[in-house]
Amino acid sequence: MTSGDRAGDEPAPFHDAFADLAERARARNVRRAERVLELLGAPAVDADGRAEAAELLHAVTGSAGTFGQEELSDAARHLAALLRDGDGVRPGALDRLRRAVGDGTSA
Amino acid sequence: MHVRPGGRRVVVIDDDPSIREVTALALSAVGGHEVHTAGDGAEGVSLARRVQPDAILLDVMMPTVDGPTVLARIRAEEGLHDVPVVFLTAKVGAQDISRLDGLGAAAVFTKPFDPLSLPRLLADALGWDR
Repeated sequence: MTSGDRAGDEPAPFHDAFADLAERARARNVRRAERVLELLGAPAVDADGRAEAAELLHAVTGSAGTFGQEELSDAARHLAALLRDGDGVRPGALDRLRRAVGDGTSA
Repeated sequence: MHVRPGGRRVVVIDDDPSIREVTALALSAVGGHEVHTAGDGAEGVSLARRVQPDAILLDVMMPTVDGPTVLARIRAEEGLHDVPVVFLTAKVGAQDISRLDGLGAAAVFTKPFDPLSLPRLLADALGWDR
């Protein structure tokens, strides 16, 4: 199956159930990203905070793209890589996630 | 649960409820498979023992018991050791994929993914004629 034949092959039960599921998933991803912004935006971030943020970013990376929040997924992946590589959290990366959250709430 | 002729029994193990639900939905509504889900590794092994699936779709990064540990447990289980396991992971570095390949999984699928394509990907990876 390719993306080109999705509409024709898409069974109605899938479409209806997916729409409901996707709405809940997007809201969950936004909440996760907001928690990451809260954790990493704090003046001092301890090891537990970094670990929680890394776990949340991993979840957002996988889930957001699956449910049409591509920019949120990409921003989460970028931030997760910075955390993993020990490069520190750059303000630009947090800003990107913040913007994606804004887009995600209206998705 | 409606299972189409030729449908298989699949166990999905993922701690993310959204991924678990959409995977189950795609495999059942689009693929016509009988799908059982578990939210963590230990529950997943028990579930697989109970339902004897034709395939297991397994998240890699889960709290408590991660995917590679679950795979090792499945391989050590009488009655499950031959069941094909497909990893589903948001880790997409070449090194990550190579490491997972080396653990004996039938395939490694990456997240994000297109739910509608998942049944076809799985069928292709496992040589199912669907």
